[in-house]
Amino acid sequence: MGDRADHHLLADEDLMPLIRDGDAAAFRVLYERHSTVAYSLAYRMTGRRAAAEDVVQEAFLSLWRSGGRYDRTRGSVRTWVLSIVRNRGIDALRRSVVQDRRRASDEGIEERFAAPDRTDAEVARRQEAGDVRSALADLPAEQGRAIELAYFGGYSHAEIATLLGTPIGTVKGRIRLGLDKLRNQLGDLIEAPA
Amino acid sequence: MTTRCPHHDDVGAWVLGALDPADERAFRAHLGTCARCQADVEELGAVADLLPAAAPRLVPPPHLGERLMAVVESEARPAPGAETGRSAPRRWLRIPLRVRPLPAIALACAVLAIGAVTGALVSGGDDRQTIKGFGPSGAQVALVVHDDHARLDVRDMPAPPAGRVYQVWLVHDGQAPRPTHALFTVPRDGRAEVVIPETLGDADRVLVTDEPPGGSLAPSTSPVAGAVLG
Repeated sequence: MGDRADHHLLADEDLMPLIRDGDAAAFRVLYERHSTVAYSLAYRMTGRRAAAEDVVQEAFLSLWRSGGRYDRTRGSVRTWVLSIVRNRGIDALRRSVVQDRRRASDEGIEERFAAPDRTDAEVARRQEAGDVRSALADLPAEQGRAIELAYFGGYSHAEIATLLGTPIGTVKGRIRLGLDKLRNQLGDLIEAPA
Repeated sequence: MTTRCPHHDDVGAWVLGALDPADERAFRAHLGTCARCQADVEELGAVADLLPAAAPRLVPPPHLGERLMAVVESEARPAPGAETGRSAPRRWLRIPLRVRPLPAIALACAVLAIGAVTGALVSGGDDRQTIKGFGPSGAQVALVVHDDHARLDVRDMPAPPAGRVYQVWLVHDGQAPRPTHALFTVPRDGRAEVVIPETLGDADRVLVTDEPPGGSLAPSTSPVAGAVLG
């Protein structure tokens, strides 16, 4: 327990060298810190609990086995973890029938498993989440839809064009415009480069 | 008024990983030459990093973490200063070990069936020896021996069957294999370096079988890999 308590005092970036050296306790702390947002993202992408669990497990095992690849100059550990989760989520969507079913999500899961706020950091994260959702909701519908299909659906711009019945160039333009607006609205939340 | 880069609209789809392969290649090539697009990628990439926050927050089920930690702890290295797994039992030892013994004689026969068990000394020097081992077709297995300790290096090794892990055993002169605390799985690239925490002692061969996640006290399957000590 002493080791675990010590690990809890370390920043994510300081846990990574320990994880690279095979320290399971350091990995556990990192998992505890980021598993909720990772699982939330995976569930948002796949719409199925079992698929989301597989995605999170694959992502964290990949992180465990390749901890040495983390580069702190390219962003926070949280961002890195979520990029791995998203890539695994896209893999899952593309290799399974989940993609066809994900809109029919597991009924009621949001209410039954909603994450409580336990710390100030979690309260801040919830505030951040609210801001991001509001900003997305404020976008013109066609821009928000294109961004959501690309980010959470794992669709390419050409696939989105087919889905929405719009020219490919239009989809690219909508994504660009939407992201520009999000940047203007969420500037305070954007991570400063390391 | 400055002219807009022709790739201006590609940036958004790029940071979301949504460009088709042909456009992705073209933009990648362009990106190396366009400072404006590089700056845009930096800025819009930071926006994309915020998007996961829009997903409804859900707590992962406890069994997910337990399952994950079982694998991680089976692959973890002993803490510095830990003597061996036997004197410093690790967490996964609390998982009940299944005892489904495979007779030593059967194990020996299985080793012979795999063939190519000659312990070829590949390299030596500075009292470290690398012994070429055997394994599944296409896999490369080597045992790096230093003093009384060893590390198993595998390349192009298939992953163990679903829900199983590989376990390393030490065998002496046809006696029942001694279990080690070296449990491991193999990532997609087929590579793993597995430190065997136990001393080799009088072992004359090292074997690998697939076992339940917590390991076994006696092999429950035929060996899939190993090496013969010189």
